[in-house]
Amino acid sequence: MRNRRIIFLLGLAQAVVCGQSVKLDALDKLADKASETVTVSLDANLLKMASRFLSKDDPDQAQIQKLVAGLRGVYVRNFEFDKPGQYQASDLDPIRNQLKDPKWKKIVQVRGRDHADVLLRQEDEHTISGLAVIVAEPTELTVVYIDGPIDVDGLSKLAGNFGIPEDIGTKVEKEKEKKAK
Amino acid sequence: MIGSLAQEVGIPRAVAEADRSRAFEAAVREHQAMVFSVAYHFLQDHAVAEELAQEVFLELYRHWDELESREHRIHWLRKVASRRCIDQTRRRKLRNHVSLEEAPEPFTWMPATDPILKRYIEQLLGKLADTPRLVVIMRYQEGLEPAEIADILDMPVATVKSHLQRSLALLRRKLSFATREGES
Amino acid sequence: MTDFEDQLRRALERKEPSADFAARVMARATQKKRPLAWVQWQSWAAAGIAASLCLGALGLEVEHRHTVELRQGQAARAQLIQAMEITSKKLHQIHKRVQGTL
Repeated sequence: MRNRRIIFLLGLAQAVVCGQSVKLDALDKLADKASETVTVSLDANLLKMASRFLSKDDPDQAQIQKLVAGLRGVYVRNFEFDKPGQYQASDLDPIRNQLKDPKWKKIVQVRGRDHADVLLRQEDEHTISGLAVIVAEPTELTVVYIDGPIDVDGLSKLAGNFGIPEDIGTKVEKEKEKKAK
Repeated sequence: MIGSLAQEVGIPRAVAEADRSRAFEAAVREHQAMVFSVAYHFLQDHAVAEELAQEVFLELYRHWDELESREHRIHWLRKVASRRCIDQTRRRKLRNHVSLEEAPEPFTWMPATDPILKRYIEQLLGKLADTPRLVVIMRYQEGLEPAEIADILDMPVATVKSHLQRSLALLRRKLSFATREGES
Repeated sequence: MTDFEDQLRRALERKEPSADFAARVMARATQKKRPLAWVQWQSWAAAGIAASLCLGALGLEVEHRHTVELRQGQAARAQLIQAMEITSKKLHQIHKRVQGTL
């Protein structure tokens, strides 16, 4: 039996595009089958508002404040299901299709019972404009897209507070070096 | 109390009000750390905790004349702060999608230095359910005995002890991973 | 008390709020009291009552707007923090999987 894919999509796009360049609306129908749903849709205005209320005295919040500066949007869909089989791999096609642009480069791929993909969007050799991660588990599906200029160093520094792998930043740098050669 | 006493001895009301304000301000400065910390450790949010703490003191101002002693005020502040913390989480209705039992063990590279452990413990505390979290805060922030906690939170002593026992076991287990070296 | 409880006690040490906390509390407490204080001065009663009503209404309006903005901002912040927590949790999962295959 084919293992259910785990696709975790986290996207940060630095592209100079107005509006959300990866749309997650197609996933909203899954909420009907989910036991719990988290939907976050913060455009630039809401991000600015949220950022004003972040506390500088809280180290995690202070770091988030730095990371979201300049971002154009943060969008999350997280679904938890009571049992496996509540969504299909094809439900993610509308998201995957939006990531077929050649500017998206896959830097991590995990396949097994859970599937995970990490992609970076590169505008040019020196500019990382997006980060995409998709995680699909048997009873949980998470899709996150963050639109705006990515601070890879800042993302690396968030490791240890929110568990972001410390080597993500390193991988990005290695990608840059490889391309430069 | 100050206002009514002042009037009994003939001190003009305006003067009595000024005395009342000064006494109230002194009480705010004396107890602000306590009230803010209860809110902060419970809500894990600096700004919201400050807002809540302000509301507690404004309520104290309204009830000032009913509280007869410093000890009575402290007990009242703890009670009201606790109640408002619970009300706040109900209003926010945030999905605590990771309970303490499900909280992942800390990262293997996390050094067991005090500031980092302290932060981690705060985060673990945030994963406890509301009432056990308040019980732990009253016990270890305020140094209260179970009977005092029971009085403040209006629950049986046995329930307080049960919350403490279970919460400590969970926290201890999660924390033991943080201080273990070479964990893979 | 055990070492573990010592750690808990240290983690739960009281913290001070912002430096202007007490001042802000006093400002809010006395702002609500001001209309009553004005009423006490009978020789200024007419102008005083009118002024205090205007000030009171303005104060309430400002308070209301402040409260609405506060709630909206807090809600947006909560969503942002939740989004970042979900993101970091999932990336950590991936990291563990990647470490396991290295």
